[in-house]
Amino acid sequence: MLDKLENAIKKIKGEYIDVRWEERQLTRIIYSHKDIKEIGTSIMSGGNIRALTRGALVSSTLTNLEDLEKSIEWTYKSSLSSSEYISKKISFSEAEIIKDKVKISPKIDPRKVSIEEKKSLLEEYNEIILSTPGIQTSNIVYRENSFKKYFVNSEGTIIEQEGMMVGIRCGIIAKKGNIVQTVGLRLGGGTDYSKLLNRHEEIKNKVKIAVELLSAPPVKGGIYTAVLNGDLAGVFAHESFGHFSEADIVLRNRELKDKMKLGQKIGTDILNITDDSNLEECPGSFKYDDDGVRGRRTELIKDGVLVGRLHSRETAAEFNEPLSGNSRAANYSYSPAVRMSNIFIEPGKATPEELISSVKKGIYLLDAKGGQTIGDQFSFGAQYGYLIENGKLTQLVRDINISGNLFTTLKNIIGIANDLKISEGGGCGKGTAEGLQMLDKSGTGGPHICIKDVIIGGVI
Amino acid sequence: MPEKLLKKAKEKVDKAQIYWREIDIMPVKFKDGKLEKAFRKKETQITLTVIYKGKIGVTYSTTFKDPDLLIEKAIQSAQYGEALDLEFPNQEPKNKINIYDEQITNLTLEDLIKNAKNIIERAKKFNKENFQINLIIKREINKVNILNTSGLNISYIKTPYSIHIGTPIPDSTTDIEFEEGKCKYFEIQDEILEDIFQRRRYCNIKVTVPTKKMDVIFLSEPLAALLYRLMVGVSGNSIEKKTSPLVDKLNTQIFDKSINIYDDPTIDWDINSIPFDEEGVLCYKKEIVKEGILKNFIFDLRTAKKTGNKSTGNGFKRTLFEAGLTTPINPYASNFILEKGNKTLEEMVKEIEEGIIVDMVLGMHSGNIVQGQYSMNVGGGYAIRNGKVEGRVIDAMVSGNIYEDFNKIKNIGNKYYLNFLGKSPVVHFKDIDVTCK
Repeated sequence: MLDKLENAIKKIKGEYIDVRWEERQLTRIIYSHKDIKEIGTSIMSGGNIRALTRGALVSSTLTNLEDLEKSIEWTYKSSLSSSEYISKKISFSEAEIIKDKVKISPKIDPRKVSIEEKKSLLEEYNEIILSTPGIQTSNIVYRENSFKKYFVNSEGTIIEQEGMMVGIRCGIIAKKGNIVQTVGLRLGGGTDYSKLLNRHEEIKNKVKIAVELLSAPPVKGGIYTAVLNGDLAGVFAHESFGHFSEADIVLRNRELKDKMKLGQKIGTDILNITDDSNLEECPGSFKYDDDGVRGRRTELIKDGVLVGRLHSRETAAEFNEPLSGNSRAANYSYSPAVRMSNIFIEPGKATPEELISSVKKGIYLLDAKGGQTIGDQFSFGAQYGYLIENGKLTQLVRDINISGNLFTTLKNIIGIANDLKISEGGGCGKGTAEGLQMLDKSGTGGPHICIKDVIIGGVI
Repeated sequence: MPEKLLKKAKEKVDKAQIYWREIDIMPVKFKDGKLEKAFRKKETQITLTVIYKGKIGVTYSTTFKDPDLLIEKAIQSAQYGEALDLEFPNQEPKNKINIYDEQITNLTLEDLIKNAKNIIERAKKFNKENFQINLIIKREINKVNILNTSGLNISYIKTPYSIHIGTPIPDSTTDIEFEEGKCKYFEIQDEILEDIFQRRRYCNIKVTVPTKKMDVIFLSEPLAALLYRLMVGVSGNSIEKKTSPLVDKLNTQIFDKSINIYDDPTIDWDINSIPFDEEGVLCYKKEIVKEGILKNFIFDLRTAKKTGNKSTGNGFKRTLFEAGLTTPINPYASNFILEKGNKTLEEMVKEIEEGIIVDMVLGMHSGNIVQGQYSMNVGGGYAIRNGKVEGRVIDAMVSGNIYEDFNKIKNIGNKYYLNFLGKSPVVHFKDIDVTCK
């Protein structure tokens, strides 16, 4: 395959051309209540081509390998013709020429586990959920996404890279009268099937929470001092700041490049946020990005100061900043955009108990339930929470959504605990001109943190 | 080649259906008034569904080149699959819907670039402050085919053409935006360009509002976040699982009598119009809510069978976040339309002493959606005081439950705007919970 791509590129004398061909295998099992809604394996392949000519960047995708040369020609000619209309030229930062072959070696390779075993495991977990009084239904999805990416560019980089994401998502739905409560659990997210085994206790605990929430009141809307657990703190980092660390997002608004200059203080002194694609067995880990650049650890915020940014070759050139290896496409159907790998808040010194006992009146929020950002404003949900009164947890509350502002909330972090954990599961959606790119391989993590003046929406 | 696949499948399984689409999508992106990038997506997407010994199996692919492999995967899927002996549809569309415009198929990359440049030039008249203008123009040629062992062999070609214009909200990475789309060529109207920059001007002043119940006007796109909760409530998935509060509410009053919502993918040239859904079931216009009374649920083949109903032609490979090759079939809106009323937005604003206009929300996918609950950040919105827009409201959230709030309707707008579920006018509610710093 690599030879085929290389030969096809050589036929066009373009300034810069790259081709990424992906062979993907998806094994998915979906349980809806006791019913198997879907089970099976699918095989797909496709490619993405980019041509950069005289400052104009055009990309195309294809699923028919026989059309490769024709597609490369179209992409190159289109970049040439559209260069007439470009007033701001795109360029790519210089990058090392790499020739490498990357293989994965999980402790238990999911591809070697039979579908019967996978089905059986899901049935065990489903049984725990559905056999509990108060539970109305469940949604359990096993997802195993393995791929081989072949990347070749006209500079001489040639990479064959294997990758995988395997995980289980449990949706637990409890019902009493007119009240319905949904909580969830994500398992896995790396390459290793063994991480999905023996998780019965955690599922039991989550089911218990779902049922308890049926008797809990909805949270009252207002401004709170909030302690977030690690799972939620990770999503907080991702939504409040992570997307704003993606250089192409900053470039969406011409005013922001100056506002987000490196060296400015945007958080408290105790805040440090890092992105690292080299962590072992984490959802967002990989070796090479889709520009053919090595992934790495990038410090983004240090002692509250903006010190780094996530880049592609294109944005690194635009900002004149170092490469970070964060140019990633969701799959062959998209060209790469700047994406986080594993973003996390670095641990502090306190214990989670110390953070909670330091709050006179506030709320303790646990477990992520989605989030979104537009830059300065962000929002994310918590699966459940407890009111804090005089440093102690009291009433369980439900239906919690949190809102914040990048330029104030990061400065309101008043405590960071020492218990960093990278969450299992993962995933991130990003709107691009080609559509919403849902990237499975995106991780978050955090220790417990304490933030003052957090807006929580709810009943007034 | 699909015929060969079906012929081979017939030899091995009880029933089979092949759904495949050939997509050719070409978006051109302008940033800050200048050409940034262009793309083209040419893909084949195949879904093979089989019934094998009374069980359903499915597999996805990007090529017909290896039919034996496809059949093997589909049978393997069925071996462990759900015992669900579905009948694949066999009715051909009788009425033609206009969704193909040859002019769109002839548009080249240069044509799209020139169209975009033309719009940007026209926008200058309304943009004296030289706010940043971003634009995506996209043309699509989508060929969809369904072939099955019930004898069905149907297809259509659709030519969606869309223009997405925006200008960034200050300090934000998202735009105040407008999107228009049809299945035929169109020009964007000047009043749209004027409106986008007027909304941007409101953002020059930041204001907060008190935490209290107040009048809230939802523009069409954020209104769709509320209508999404209704869609989930009437979805066959929620009816089957009995998680919807609407399970026993057919033909009962659930909303104010001024509310009429229907699902209609049969309108000529509408961007969401299609003759049949992604399971081959014919699409038709159906009332969802009539004068506030719940009239219908929406089903795909699976949830129809499970609940003893018929498919309503709402089987789509679509979720809130995905509509791709491997997205499973779900009951989903084809073209949800909230019927327009008779008030202009300006008239609504004049009536409001203290309130907000919600232009864009964050967090619509969080919360107790199936129960109708929402709690969303007002990512883009404007404060109203004494009948006038005061500025951009910041650090605010709107919360509530659609089954209460759609009984607090004050006014319904008189124009349709596209949104992610279909189209709607703007709607003015009273007594919505607003939390603000």
